[in-house]
Amino acid sequence: MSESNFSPINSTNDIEIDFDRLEEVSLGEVELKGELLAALLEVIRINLDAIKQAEAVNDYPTVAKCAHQLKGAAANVGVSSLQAIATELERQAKAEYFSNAADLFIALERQRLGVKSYLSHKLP
Amino acid sequence: MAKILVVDDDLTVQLVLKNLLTSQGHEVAIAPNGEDALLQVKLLYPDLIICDWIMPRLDGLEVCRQVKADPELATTFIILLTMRDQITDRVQGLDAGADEFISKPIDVEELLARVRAGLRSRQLTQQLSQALRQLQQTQAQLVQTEKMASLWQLVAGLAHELNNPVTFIYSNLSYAERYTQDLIELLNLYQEITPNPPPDVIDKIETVDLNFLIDDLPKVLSSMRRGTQRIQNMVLSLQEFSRQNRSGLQSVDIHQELDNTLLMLHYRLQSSELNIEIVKDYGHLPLVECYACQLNQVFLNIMNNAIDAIREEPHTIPARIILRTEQLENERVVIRIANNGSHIPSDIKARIFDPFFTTKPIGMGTGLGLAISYQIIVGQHKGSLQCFSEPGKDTEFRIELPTSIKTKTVSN
Repeated sequence: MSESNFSPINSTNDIEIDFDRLEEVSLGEVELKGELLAALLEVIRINLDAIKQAEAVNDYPTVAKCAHQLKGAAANVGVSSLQAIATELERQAKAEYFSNAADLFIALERQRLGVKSYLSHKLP
Repeated sequence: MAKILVVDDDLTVQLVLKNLLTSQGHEVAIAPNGEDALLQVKLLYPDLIICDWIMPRLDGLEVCRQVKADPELATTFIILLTMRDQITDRVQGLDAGADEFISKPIDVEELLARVRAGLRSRQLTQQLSQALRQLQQTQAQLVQTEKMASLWQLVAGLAHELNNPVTFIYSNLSYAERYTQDLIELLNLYQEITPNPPPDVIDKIETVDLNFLIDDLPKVLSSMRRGTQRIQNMVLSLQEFSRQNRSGLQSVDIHQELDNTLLMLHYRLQSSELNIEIVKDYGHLPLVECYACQLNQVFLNIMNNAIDAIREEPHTIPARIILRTEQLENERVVIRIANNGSHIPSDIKARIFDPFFTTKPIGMGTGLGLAISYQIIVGQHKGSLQCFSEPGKDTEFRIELPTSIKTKTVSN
């Protein structure tokens, strides 16, 4: 099992975006950027709900699957901070041991808010 | 430009691919899962499918397998999406029928390049299968033409060989009849001058039953004449039918050809259990320029099928084949051959002109008769061949021919 250097203790709603990636997949169109981030918000919302429910009953496979989807979507759009958290969550779920699930959930929630505020402020 | 189906459960991937491919002029459809993909594939017939490997329930591998297993879809180019950090066995993907792989997150330039390559490959595959179909058709036609040519050669040779002996039997019969008459007259003269012949002659007259012999001998000869005449007619129609020496284009009396074909089929039409009634409704036809030998083959194929159809409905009384001809405007004639046997279901009707398609038991039909007929009428004679069949109505084959092929080609 690989050790992660990820630290979920970060009190801000800051998100890290790989702008080159976002530019590439949105074909340089502002409108499409907004649509993509909105789609990402939807993916976060669906998977975060599913993850929380599954974690409560130690349903590791479902958590791993949802974290995996979250990771894929984040990587696709270029939100690298979200991708890192989802990767860590998937790793823990596959190891069937959550060392800091609550922290990760808070971090995911902050990412969601971060994407949302980026969407409304930077891409009105 | 091309129809592309994107199969992925990730909303952001759907969005990216849809916009990316639409911007390249492609028509894009989205399926959120494998089940939906299989439904859409059968409606859309896409040129290319980009499909996520990992999906709940029906995964990318299964989509590949099912698409490639369907002959109508097998040429579809499939790109599987894999995760960079996930160890997927590409051999497994290739075995399932995937043509190409792209890892996620998708590199836009790479994806577009692979789509271009995939569409090129798909186009070549399609051209190849089109060429194969044409080749099969040509081959079927060649085989049949060759087979029929050698059959006609045999028939013509046989007719020629029979013609000589039959002719000398026939021409000598006249002499035999005259000599017989002479001998009978001579015998009568002897009987008149010898009212009381010696006992051994009386004995002989009684044992041979002279009166009966004199009465019967001319009848025997005349029935020999009738039999020989029939053989001669048969030989003549065989020659007419095969006519090696007139294989080129010539002006032909269609009614004569139809009658010849009926004569050929005489043995099948009159077979005891069927007893098919032939109704001729001939119009006034001009001479038609055609390849007579080929046209006879078409008539023969269609009438043979008509007899088979009647055989399948043995309770229809009277079983009937109706031949109608009619002159149309603009120098065309129509020949309609109808029968009141079993009708042709519409799914079969759609395929009756396909080479190697047959509904007859294995070994009975070649599946070539109507394919060749179609080729002869449409390809060689620039005419049309159609089939009309509905339950409760007569099945009819309608042949339309131009009276002259040459003028038709010139006007084209």
